[in-house]
Amino acid sequence: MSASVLRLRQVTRHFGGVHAVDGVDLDVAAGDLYGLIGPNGAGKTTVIDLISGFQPVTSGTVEVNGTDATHWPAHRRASAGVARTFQTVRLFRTMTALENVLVGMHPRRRNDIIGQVLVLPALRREQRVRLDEGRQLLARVGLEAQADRPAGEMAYADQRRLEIARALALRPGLLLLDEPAAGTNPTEGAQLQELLVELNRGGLTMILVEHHLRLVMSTCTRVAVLDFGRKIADGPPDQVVRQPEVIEAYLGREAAEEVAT
Amino acid sequence: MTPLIAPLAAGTSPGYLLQQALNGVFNGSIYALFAVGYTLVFGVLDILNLAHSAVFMAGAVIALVLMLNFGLPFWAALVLAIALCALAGYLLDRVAFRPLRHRGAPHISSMITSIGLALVIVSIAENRFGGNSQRFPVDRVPGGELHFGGLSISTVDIGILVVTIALMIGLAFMIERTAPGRAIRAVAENPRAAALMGIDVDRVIALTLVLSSALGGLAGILYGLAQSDVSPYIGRDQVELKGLAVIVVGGMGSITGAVVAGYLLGLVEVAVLVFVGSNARSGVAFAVLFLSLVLLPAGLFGRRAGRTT
Amino acid sequence: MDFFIQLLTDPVGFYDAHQLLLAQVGVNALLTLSMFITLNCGLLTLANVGFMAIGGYVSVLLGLNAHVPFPLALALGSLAAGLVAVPIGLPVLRLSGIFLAIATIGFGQVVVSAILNIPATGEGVGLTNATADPSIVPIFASLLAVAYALWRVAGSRLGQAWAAIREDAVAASAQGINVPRYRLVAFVLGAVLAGYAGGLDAHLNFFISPSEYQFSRVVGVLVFAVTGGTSTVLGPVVGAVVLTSLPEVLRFARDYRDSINGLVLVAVILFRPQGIIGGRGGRGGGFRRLLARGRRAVPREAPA
Repeated sequence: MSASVLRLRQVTRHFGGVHAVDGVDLDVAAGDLYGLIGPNGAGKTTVIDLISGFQPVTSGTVEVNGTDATHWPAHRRASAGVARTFQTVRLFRTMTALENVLVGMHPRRRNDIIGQVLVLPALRREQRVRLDEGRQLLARVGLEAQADRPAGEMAYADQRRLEIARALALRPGLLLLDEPAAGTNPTEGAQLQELLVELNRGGLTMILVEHHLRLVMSTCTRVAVLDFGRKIADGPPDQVVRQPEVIEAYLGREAAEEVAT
Repeated sequence: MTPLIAPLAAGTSPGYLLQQALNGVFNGSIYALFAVGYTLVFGVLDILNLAHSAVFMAGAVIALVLMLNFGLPFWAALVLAIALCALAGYLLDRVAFRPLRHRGAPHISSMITSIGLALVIVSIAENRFGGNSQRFPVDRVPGGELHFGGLSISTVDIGILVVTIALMIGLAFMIERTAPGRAIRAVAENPRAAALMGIDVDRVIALTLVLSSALGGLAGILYGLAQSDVSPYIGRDQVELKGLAVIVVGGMGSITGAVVAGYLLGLVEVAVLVFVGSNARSGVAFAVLFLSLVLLPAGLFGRRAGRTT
Repeated sequence: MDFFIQLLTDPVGFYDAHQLLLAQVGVNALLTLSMFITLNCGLLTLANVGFMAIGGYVSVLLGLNAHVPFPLALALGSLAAGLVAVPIGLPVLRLSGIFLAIATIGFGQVVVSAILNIPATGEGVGLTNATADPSIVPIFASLLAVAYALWRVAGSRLGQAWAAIREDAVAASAQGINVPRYRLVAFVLGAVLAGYAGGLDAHLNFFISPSEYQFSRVVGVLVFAVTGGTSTVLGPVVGAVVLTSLPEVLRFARDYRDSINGLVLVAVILFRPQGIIGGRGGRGGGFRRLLARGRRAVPREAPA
């Protein structure tokens, strides 16, 4: 088995009395395209927040590349290579597409304030290198023609792509995608799916949150199913769909009994 | 800076303490009355209306001008000045708030336009009224002192206390029990849902500003009476910022909170005056404001925390 | 009109006649830049006048009591403002939007109260500053240096982080940006610059007193910033220059100075929210983004 990129152990998140996430274990290995599915309100986005550090765990541990990251703030996890996108797009809207991607290079850019004030030529070279890399990233998601457009003016599906390009600028070891196809039409959704599969083939480990079973079944290498904050199934997609708990969670009890008989 | 509380001769006899406690209650009434209008607008609109202190000042200045230059008797001047403040509240909404609201502009822009109109109102008062402090003519306004044992209480102060309490009860009744009050609460809760329920949101907001500004104007007149100080500057800095402290400590948007915190501030100020000294008093409100934001961002009766992550 | 005619035909006479005004223009521009630093990373803080008071009093007191030469006293005054800003900023910057604004207003007033209670400051009476010198050279040299530095910072790692935080603090932290730290840096740098402007301002006048550091002063600075626009360094400078000199240019308007400022402010917000110097092809920069965030600067992610 390849190296562990992410390991969750008994991760729990309570809001008041509500158990949004309840004792979830998850093991993501390098190269996985891990699907995280479940009905609305199952706790999928909360799991993403707990992995990326946008919410603190109530209990349990989060390990990134074998290091305990449970108490790291979000920016530290991002710098360590845990990149994410958001369920509703969160771009820097007045910045251009290229500028958005450049922000993603922040952790590996050196502190250059004195050099900038003194206009050191070395910095200009570094900036050129960053710009080239930024354009390459945009090209990778198919946005090279829109590099200089303000992000807020781009088409919605393109904004989704840009968010992925910005996350890639972190050179992530793990990319968390929270419903990347939400709000796009079927054609655009299919294109996005293609992009994700391509990135995964290139060696990028990903967790993909979706509630559309079909998309997950056809793309993911492994799938975990959440229901009411608990993990009810985990394994290869074709096995997971046959489990009665999963069918029940998705289709209701009657359907589950029907399938069983 | 006009001291709201004149330090009495030193000494902490029970009579002195009681007298100071009463002063605290009377000052607290004015803080409460001022802050209620402030917090009402915040509760409904999520806007910090920084022109409220200018309307407060305008109430006192207009009432005095009506008496001195137009010869109106006190009660007529009072009613007319409050009406004009209410009108100012309506105009404030039309000029500073409504266009931004319709554009979906963020709340801080409205705070800034309210600052702009406050500058205009104060500057007009400066030019028409002059920068000097004047007072209501003693022979034409209610006055006099009552004596109980060693305590002396002015009838104006008692009047202020009674008026404040009556108004607070009336306001609470209006908000809780009447149709316009229910509409105000609905808009405060969720303007979009209120609009879907057939409530004319713009009208409710205009009503809120009219109500708030009328209360603010009345507070200004009562302040002018109690402190014998009417000038274009009475709303500035001290009153405005103390009002801010009161609504923050009370919980932004909470009317009960504003009343309780108003009286609390009045009492804490006299306590500091008595036990620490008069110089320390001016900082109390702001120290309280600062600490309460850092330690208790939702305030005493707050619905929502202002703190994030 | 006389104002401009004299400026063109008789610059020396103009300088003599308007030296103090020019000095005030420069100081106000520096103060507005101090607010620009925090606005530029999405923070509406109104503590500037408090830091200005610290810078002013510390530098004057050092000069009066310890005969510290002015440039050193000025540096120590701004340093003092920056040092105070650290413990203030740590708790206060956890607030957002209007609550941050209110807390920082409170801080400004606490500083004024502190001055009123510290005997060495002359309390309410104020201090006579025998070393005052209304020379405008240090002021404008500083203004140029600060404006240049801030202009260059925009392209740096720090400036990029500030811009990202201003646009969307949540997304910024997802890109590995340490949001609390960069906010604190902005707050402290803003304080240092406000303290510096306060030191220069105090040095202009033969007399300083707590009444110069009231809330209305910081409101004035906010008016300059909003009017000029905060998407570029030029905006705040233009706002301060135009609005400080307007009452001099339009003599008849001097009595209505605040009315004009107020109306300009309302008109700008209603008709040109990005300020006079819009920047970025009218897309609206710093302040507009800040405004769009309001008090929920960091919305909670709803549990799915």
